[in-house]
Amino acid sequence: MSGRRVVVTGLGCISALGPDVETFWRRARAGDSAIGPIRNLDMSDVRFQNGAEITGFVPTDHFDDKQLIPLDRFAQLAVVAARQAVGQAAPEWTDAERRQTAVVTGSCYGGKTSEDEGFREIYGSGTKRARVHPMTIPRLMANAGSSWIAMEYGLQGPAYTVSTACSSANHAIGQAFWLVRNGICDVALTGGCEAPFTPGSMKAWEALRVVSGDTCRPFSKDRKGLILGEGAAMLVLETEERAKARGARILGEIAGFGMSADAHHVTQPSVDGPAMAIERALADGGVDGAAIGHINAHGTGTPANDPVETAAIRRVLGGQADKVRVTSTKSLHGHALGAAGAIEAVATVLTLERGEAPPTANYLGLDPECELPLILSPEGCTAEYALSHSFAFGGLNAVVLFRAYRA
Amino acid sequence: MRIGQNFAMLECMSDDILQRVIKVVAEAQKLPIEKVTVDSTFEELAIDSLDGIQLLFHLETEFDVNIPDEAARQVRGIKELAEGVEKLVAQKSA
Repeated sequence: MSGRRVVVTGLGCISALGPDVETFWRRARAGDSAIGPIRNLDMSDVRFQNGAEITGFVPTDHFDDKQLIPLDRFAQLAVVAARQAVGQAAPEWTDAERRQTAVVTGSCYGGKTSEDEGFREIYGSGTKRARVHPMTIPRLMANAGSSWIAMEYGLQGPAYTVSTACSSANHAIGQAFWLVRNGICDVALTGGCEAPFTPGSMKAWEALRVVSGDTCRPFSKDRKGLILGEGAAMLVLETEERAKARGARILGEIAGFGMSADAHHVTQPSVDGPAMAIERALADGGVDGAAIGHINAHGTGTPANDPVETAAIRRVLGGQADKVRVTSTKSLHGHALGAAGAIEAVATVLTLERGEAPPTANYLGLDPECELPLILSPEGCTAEYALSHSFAFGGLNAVVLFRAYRA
Repeated sequence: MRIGQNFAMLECMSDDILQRVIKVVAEAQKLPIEKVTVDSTFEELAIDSLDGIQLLFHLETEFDVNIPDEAARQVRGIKELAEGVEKLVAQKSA
């Protein structure tokens, strides 16, 4: 452990659980899953039917018509979540700080909605005059979230987007944390954004045969796969010193970050890679596995992920693996891919801050290969340290270590 | 040369084409139609490069023409825009 302490002073979240952090938390802590039939797409030709869609989002409530022209849905969600986080943190940027503040976001897909619409026109219209909308490229670029957040607040520090499939947001948060801890900047906005519900994307997921035909049942017997979700979540990070000096309310602390590659198989996870990422997050935070009281697991509910994640937790935490309280909130908000780690970061910060832990929904009973102390109904949480796991297709792993803030 | 070959200025501009161009510009830019005149420049109408690209897209749709990149880059105002469109429409029907 080295460098400055990094705290969280703002949270923003728009997801299937609701349009803001408080709605998200009210439903999450009660285990009220948002998974249901996908309604915004024609799913008649798709084998799976369920997802975790955002309902009631009206873009013109947040942007004027002209602003919306270059904004894909995933970037709209990014800006909405960033506004919530900045609204809560009220960062009181000086001009010099705006020039230095970082924006690091994660996205797996980028603007898939715009890309899909445009390509459908090209390949499907049957006319040689087919064109795509002139804003297709600005809409689909994966860095649109970072770019629009930077423009919204005039932030000119390090700004970029990480794309590591399901680990994108955790990689982004971890790097933003390191930027602040290591003195590159004093404030950072970080998180992830994703809007994967498009016809082409649904067919691609169908073909991979990893999406559940019913629901998401992490670590459960008879689990059948993941459930896709959409959303965005953003965190305002700043140094503890800065937050205290301005009297900001500190919601939590990021204490460590670890990453690794499986270097093994594109979709079959290994125990080594995730275990190394967990070990490195602990080492980065200067704590032992025995200190970990809570885990917001990757917990996709796929047959392959959950036993491997269980083995990784057991390998690194040893005896503490029988005590640590584990949840997978993907059973509530779905797997939002490049936004997943950010939504789960919001859940983890709130778990530690408010002392209540959201349960894993849809559990049917023990799978002996996934035996962990799972949170299956709402319960209190007294943990000081918590891990949030993301393990991506392609074998790229990122683990963030959170700490309940104590001055 | 300010105006590309395909967008060469015509002496007599069709009022019908001018009015349709003005309508497309006003709608795309969310401007009251009376604010857009034959003499308006893009600068006066706060049309930036990104807006300009979208205008070309909408004009191609409206007039079923292909506006070449090089010609489009030279245009600075409504008059040139309408003249260029008129030239392309004339070429199409020739």
